[in-house]
Amino acid sequence: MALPLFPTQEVGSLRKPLWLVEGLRGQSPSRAAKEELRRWARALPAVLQEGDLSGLTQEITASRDPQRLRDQGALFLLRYLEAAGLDLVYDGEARRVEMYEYPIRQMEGFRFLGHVRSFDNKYYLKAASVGPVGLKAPYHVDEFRYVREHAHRPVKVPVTGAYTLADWSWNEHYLKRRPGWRGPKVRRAAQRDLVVALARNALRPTLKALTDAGAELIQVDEPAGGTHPGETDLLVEAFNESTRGLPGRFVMHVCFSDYRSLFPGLLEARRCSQFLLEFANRDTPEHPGFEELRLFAEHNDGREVGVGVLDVHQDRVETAPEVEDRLLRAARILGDPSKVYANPDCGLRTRSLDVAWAKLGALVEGARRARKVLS
Amino acid sequence: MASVAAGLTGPSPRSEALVEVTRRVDRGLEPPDTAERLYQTEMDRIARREAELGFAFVTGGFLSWPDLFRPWIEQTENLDAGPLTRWFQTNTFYRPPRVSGPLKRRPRGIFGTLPPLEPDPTGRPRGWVAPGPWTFARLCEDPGGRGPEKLSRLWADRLAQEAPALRAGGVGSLLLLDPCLVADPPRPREGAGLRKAYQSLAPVLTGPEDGIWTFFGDATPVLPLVSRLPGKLLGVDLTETEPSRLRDFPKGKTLGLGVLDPRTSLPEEIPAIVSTVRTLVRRLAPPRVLLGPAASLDLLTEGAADKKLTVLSRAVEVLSAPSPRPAAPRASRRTPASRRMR
Repeated sequence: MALPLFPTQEVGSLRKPLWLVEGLRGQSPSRAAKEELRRWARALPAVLQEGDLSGLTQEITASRDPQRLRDQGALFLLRYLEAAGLDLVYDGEARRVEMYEYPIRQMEGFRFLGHVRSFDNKYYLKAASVGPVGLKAPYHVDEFRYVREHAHRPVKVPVTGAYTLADWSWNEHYLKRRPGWRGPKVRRAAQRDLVVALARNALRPTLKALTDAGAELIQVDEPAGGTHPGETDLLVEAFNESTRGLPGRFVMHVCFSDYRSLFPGLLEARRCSQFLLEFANRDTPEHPGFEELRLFAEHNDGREVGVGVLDVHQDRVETAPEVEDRLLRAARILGDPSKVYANPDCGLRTRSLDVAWAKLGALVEGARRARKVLS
Repeated sequence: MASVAAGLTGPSPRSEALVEVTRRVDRGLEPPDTAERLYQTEMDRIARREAELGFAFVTGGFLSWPDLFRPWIEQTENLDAGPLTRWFQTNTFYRPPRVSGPLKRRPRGIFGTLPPLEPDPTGRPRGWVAPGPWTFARLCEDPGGRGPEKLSRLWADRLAQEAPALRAGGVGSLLLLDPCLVADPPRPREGAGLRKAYQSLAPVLTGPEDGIWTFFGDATPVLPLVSRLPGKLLGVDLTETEPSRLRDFPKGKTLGLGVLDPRTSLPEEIPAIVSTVRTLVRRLAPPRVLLGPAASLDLLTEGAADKKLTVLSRAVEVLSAPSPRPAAPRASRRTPASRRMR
């Protein structure tokens, strides 16, 4: 796939439009949902006149077919990302509940126990592993086929990695097999059992099904990758085991971590051609946040880096010059602008569609400006 | 046998009802006072549960705090919230305090950040937790470049400013949560400075359940240092500290033992807790033992946390039950001292 310098990409999920959320709950569209849709119809007139979406503004009612609603949600967010001008696109994970719960529900051996807090008033539904990990059926394949059929730009499929799925679950089954005092060594051994079982029994069959269906670029999301500095070997084992022997190109996303703790072990993920890392969150005038990019040069590793240039936890919209500056700084540190991709720190699902739109606009414009500087 | 008690050592998980309401408030679908009312109801409920489980003090679970630092940031001049940062090796995030000048108490104070709890009919005191000085120093952002010793002292002084209001509010147990003492320990040459930095807390941490609670790390390497810090209690994370390596403990301090692992939903086994605590009590001979979660239980769901707290309460019951009268000595070769140890 031919991409420009500083290719732009989303990292993961977008917030679902209200009409989709309410529709999937079987609710009649609220005034806010109708207003949101009208606003986007004005902002993206070409998008909402297209085939599947053409009747959307008149059509939204509580009685609509959920499958059609999901298709329209996926198409809407795909076109949203394309209209924003991104070079690599997907469907904003419109069909997934979220990045943890959705894959876990496709598996056997887990039981959801309830919500836990991630931060502030943000929570996620967390499961415990209560039996051997199994896969009901490979997932994401139908959604990928739909995106590929409709996308006008190259497609990148995000898939939550085995290490993160294990870390975000409670490990009961594999821990129970080790009775007695469960100190750090015992917990780690049990965790490895869970990680490897997830990679072998769930992730690899899913990635294989995706590559069999024609996926060429898969992003393995490992936001938990830096949680335990002593477990980089497990993170890498999960990645290598999940991708073992499969065709296609694989990249890995890690965020909100001390990246120093991941080096040099992370570089053993040999099939990984790009690391997408959060940086904007930690980049302030007082504390420049891109210094950890030097780790790649220090370890003589020339792989691509997807550089987070948009903070996904603030509504403040970055300016295009800010994005340009961040990309050029990253290029200087890596010593090769062709290794730099531009992306948000993480999924923009944390922001409203309006804020995400403005931020993606800055991303695309900032990348354009950076290209111009180097041309 | 030392007296054994239990208590919460940090924030509790939010109930599903509170999860739903706070989400709706964030989305603008409910007014903020809906959440405020529910915080009050739920904290009273947790306090009743703590009393029912026989805990030494009641906390109410600190449900409205976004993280351990935020209420302090809001009640302290020259502190603001930094970027979202991972809370040790968990999937929970916090905003570290950013120091921009001298730390001064705002009029509302930390006690005002939580609603009052229904008075406990048995007169249990209220328990409170706060970030410890070394942890503050290691986790805060300080563009001013003060070193950890100076930051620890600043924070110890700031904590001491709150003591009168906390005591006036009925706080009988003040635990300084200081995970960095074990997860990111001071270097040997920092020890003397650290002890000095904590000095302003000596007149504050005077009750049997006032002290420093360490977690997320092995306490044994730093025990010689932390034993000399102020406080009548020292808490050790037994999910990270191998019990057999815990061989010395400061004389006269309450032995805090973090026996519940908040990183697994699997409830602990009562016999395992009982046997570990008995072994440690025999070996270390503390005057009093406080059992609790190793770290805050808000890493769990409410249901999973409650199962663990029930286990904790039962373990305390077993440990506190009068020992069966030993059989009449026959031709024992044990020494009197070893009998006392039994």
